[in-house]
Amino acid sequence: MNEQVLNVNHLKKGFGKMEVLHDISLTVSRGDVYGLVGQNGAGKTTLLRLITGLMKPSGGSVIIHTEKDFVGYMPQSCRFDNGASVADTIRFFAFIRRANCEMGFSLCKKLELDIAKKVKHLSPGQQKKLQLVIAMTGEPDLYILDEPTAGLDPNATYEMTNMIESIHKDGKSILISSHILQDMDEICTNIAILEKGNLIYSRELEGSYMIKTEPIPRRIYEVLVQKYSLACNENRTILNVKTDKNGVSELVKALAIDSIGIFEVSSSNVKTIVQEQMHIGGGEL
Amino acid sequence: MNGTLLKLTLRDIRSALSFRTFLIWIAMAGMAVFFFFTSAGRTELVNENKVEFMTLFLPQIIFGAWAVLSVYFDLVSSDREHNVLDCILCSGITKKQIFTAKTLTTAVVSLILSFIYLLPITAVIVLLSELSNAMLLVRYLLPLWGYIMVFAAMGVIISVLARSSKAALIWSLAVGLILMPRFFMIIVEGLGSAFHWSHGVIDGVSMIAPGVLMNALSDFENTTNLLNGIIGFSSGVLILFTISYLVFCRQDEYNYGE
Repeated sequence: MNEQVLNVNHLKKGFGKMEVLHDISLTVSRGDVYGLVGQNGAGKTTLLRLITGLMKPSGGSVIIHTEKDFVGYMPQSCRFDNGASVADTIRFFAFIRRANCEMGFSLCKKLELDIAKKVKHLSPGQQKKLQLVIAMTGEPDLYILDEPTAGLDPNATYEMTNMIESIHKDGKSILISSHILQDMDEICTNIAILEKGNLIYSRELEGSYMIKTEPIPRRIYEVLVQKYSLACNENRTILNVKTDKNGVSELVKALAIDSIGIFEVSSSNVKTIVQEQMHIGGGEL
Repeated sequence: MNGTLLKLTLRDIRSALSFRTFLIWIAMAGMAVFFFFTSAGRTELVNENKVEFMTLFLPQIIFGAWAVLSVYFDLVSSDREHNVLDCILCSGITKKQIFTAKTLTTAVVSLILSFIYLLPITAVIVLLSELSNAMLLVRYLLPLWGYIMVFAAMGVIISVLARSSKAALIWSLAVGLILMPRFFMIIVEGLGSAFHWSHGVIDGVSMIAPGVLMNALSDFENTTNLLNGIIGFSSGVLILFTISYLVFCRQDEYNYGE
């Protein structure tokens, strides 16, 4: 499961003198669902557009290791040809991807999307569903989804999340950006946080634990960091450790020996990671 | 590869030949017939069996630029505005293929538009005179196609540069106004008197106006003018498409909505 699908190396993007993305590096492996989180203007959409090749980087590189020459890209919003029907739209994209359109039709049936309906008569939620169906046409190995649940009602959000989970179950890799942290928690295996064009956090969620403590003296932290895969906040009161359950027990014991008070030990989730890393509250950015 | 290009072209042709396009061009054809009757065109035809260039193309000379730009101003900008261009580019299609499809679309649609414009007026002329005048359609089809192609190439460059259909529409209106042949010639004459150009230079610069070029291109007897017309149209279309292509390939894809 460690086969790399996407390598982003020291990626930079500037518009004139203003640099909006600074030295971004990340790797997506086969089967990863990589969540990209950040406030408005952090550079999420720009990063996704650089990865898809829609924008050219000012520096660095993007390497996609997939057999197919297309990716399943779902932009924030998309309005296909008004005069065409859902079926026509699916047929068009299936043709240019040299794929079968039957899969798209069956997905529409599953999502209760009438293929005879004209695109101009679709509601915003149905438009999003069609976008996902188009992204899935030809079964690409890598999906890049930009705010797939933005503007959807709870029911449509649930359906969309289920679809993304089914893509993940098929062993595909997904890079997804969203403001809604709860959605990310349900589907992501990895999380990356962008702040003002910098990648400030990037880690696998499974096997990640968070320990809230009293402030840890720097010398003790420096010893611990040599033994464990650790990250912490500015005051060294919140540790994110990537280890198994035994590793967490060991770390807790080590902290107790150094007389560091421990308030909470829990599995990491997107919401808490984002809150701690970005010093914010709430479930939506 | 070729199947994909055909598919892309057919999609673009379908979107260019919209209800709006037909409405505008049927109105243009109707105006041509109307002007033919209200100007000296009918009298000249009946009395002398002669058809003057201006009596056929007066609507083109007045509204041609706008009528053509209205078809092509959103050829690229609409796809970009709605993020459909992104989805196509992420489907393994290159910008070169997309631009080739757009170019083929302008060529095919412009020919259809020439036909739509000329058919009713030719029919009227044939009804009023003799069947041999049906050859007028053949004589003027290619010059009109060349005339439309110049504006089409301008429409494409506007469509590439503007990142939204609204911006493209505003640019098209402005460009259409400047390029109205009568208006353009007034500008050239004004510049000529301001900079003391000779009549030769003023005439030469005026030839840039597509309407003037079309007149030259339909004048088969005057070889020099015909050659100037062919060179003018071809180089104009070629230069405009080349600039559009280079700009399009270098552009980052994003729109104002993001």
